[in-house]
Amino acid sequence: MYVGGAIFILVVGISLFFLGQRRGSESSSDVATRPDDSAILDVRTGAATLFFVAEDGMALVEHEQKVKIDAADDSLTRARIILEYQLGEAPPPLESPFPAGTELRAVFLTLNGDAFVDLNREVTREHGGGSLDELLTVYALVNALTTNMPEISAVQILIDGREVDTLAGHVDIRHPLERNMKWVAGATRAPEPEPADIEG
Amino acid sequence: MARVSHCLLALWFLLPQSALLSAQSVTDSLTLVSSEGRQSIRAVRTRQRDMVALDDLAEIFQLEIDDSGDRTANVSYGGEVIILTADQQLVSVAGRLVSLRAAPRRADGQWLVPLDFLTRALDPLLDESLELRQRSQLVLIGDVDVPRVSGRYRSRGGGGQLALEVTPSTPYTVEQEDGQLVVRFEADALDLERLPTPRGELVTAITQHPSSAGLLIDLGPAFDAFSVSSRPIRNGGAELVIEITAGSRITDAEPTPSLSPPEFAFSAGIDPLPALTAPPTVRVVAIDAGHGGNDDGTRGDGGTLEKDITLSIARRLRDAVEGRLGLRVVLTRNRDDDVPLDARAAVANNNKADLLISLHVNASIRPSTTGAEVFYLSMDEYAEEAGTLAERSGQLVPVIGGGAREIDFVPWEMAQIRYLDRSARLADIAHEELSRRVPMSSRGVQEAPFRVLVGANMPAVLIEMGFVSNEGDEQRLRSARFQNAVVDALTVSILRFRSYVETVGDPLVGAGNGDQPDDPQVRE
Repeated sequence: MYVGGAIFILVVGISLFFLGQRRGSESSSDVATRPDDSAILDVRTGAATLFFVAEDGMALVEHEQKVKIDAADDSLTRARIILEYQLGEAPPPLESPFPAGTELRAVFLTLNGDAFVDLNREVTREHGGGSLDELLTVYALVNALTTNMPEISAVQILIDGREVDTLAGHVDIRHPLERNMKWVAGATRAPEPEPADIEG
Repeated sequence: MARVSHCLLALWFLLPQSALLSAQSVTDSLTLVSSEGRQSIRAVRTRQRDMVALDDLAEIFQLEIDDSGDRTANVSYGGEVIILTADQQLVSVAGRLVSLRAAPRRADGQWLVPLDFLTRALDPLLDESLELRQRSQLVLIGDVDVPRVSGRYRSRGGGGQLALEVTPSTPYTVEQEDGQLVVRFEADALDLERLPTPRGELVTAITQHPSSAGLLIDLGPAFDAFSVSSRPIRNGGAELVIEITAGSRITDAEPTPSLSPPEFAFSAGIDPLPALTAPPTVRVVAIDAGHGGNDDGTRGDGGTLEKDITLSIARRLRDAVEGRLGLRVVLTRNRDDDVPLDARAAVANNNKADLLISLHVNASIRPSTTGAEVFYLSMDEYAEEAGTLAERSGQLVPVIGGGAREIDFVPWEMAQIRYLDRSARLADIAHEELSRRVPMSSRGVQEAPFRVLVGANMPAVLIEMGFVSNEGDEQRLRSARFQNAVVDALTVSILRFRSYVETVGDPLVGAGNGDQPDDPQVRE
């Protein structure tokens, strides 16, 4: 129902949309691209916050990792890059919360800030089960996108292009989930996302 | 960037109190808390979202608004600009695109913005941080002390006990003043999650202090004395316990439920109908053996399958509850069957079960992770649906014969929303009883968006009995001794919960008021 024919690829649309709103403010001219803005340096040497399983297995932990994001990359590309890193190998001694063979099939972004992340079937078929690991799998993905990309407010996981109830029989993923730091060690609350690390 | 200057209280009286607010559905006010004081801002509910007037924010934070008069507005602060477009959720904040949870609106020449405009759009521009505590409608500005406080009140014998969880731990005083106990915290404000509604003659009301970070406990005629103690709890918090004792003759015990027929006041020529409603209790227990059929659940290195363990314990629990408590038990599956998650809640709902226990076995990629855990449903992930539900509540529908009746609409798939307080209580009890018999994980009772719980139309918990990925836990899970210990704990939990329900009454009457009467410690 959330997908419901209203999946939009943002990149061009957003740029055109805001370029159309540029009048009325001097600063508004730097909405779409600001090649000399210092934030772009953050993008080029960008340190993304990723989430991996802690050594005690009881929670996720944040891990800052340099990612190769180009200043010219659009939101969709950035989302894809962050997800590829998140689905990749974890730095020892941390562990990846995703089963081996999990691959990203597609990412969709909507104008209301929802991201739809389409994974292959391995994420359910190879999942070890258990509600704890399932929670960690889901929220590693949700938190990775919502933490690093302020234009994304919620994430829904799809499997082979389709909505599913759960990954392994427990966590309700029928709708987009917002960032939740409850499953991240050392985080006592779920603060709002920080300002963008990545230029829009 | 320039530092924000707040003259909060003074400015409030000068604010335009936006005229358009009067045309909207005004909801609770937001309270802005800074080191300089507190201030209210009115919020309005429009299109199921709470919104605030941009003009009000401009007065407080000294924003400059350049309203082009059509569909866009530029909000400037410290040389940075926020660009709003009417009915578009995406806004530009200093050149970055940010998605708000609702689109800004322009009506009658003024702008309304959603609450997260404060944290997502305004916060990045200010030197001081903004934090939105939505549940308590607080906006925290800068470095302020605002502990979270939740309270439970229990009648105990001839007295009462108010337990306040305060996170983080905060210095406090408790003083008796003019028929009240005044609890003051060394804080700028309180983030109140819930306050109990006591009954009886010992404590008549518990309310938030009108002018400081504290609580007022109104004392009734039975009050005699009080004592205070505290102990540390998880996440750096503290539990503050205020024991209140009654005089020698009057007690604050809850009235004992009577099963005798009600007395009727007869009047000439009219025979009133007797009340046919059965007293609230627990008659039917639904037990859900997790997974099954092609869904093995998780698997241990020793070959243990989750679906077998859950079915074995579900059957043992059924026998114990039926045999020892005399209650009716329904199992969502009694064989190695595939049962969809919706169907499991439906079995419990269709059998009018009074509580649901879903049994599971956990797993971790870390073999060292061990212990049992107890969950109930988290509502954080269903905020949007809950908002819609609130909109639907109290609708008037016509009835046969004329007139109208107020009905609360609850979508079937969100049935659990009305039972969260009871589910939390059941989870507390189950955790306590399990802790006495089996190894537990280091975490206490937890909330999570579990699919099997959300559609349950009764108090519901999910029990993870141990980690099959841990060698020791796997051996325990297979043993009859461990399984019987779990069954024993859950049987006693059901008995205690039944006593609780019988004491409290109908879970849907006054649900959510946080009232927590005495929980009898039932022993077999």
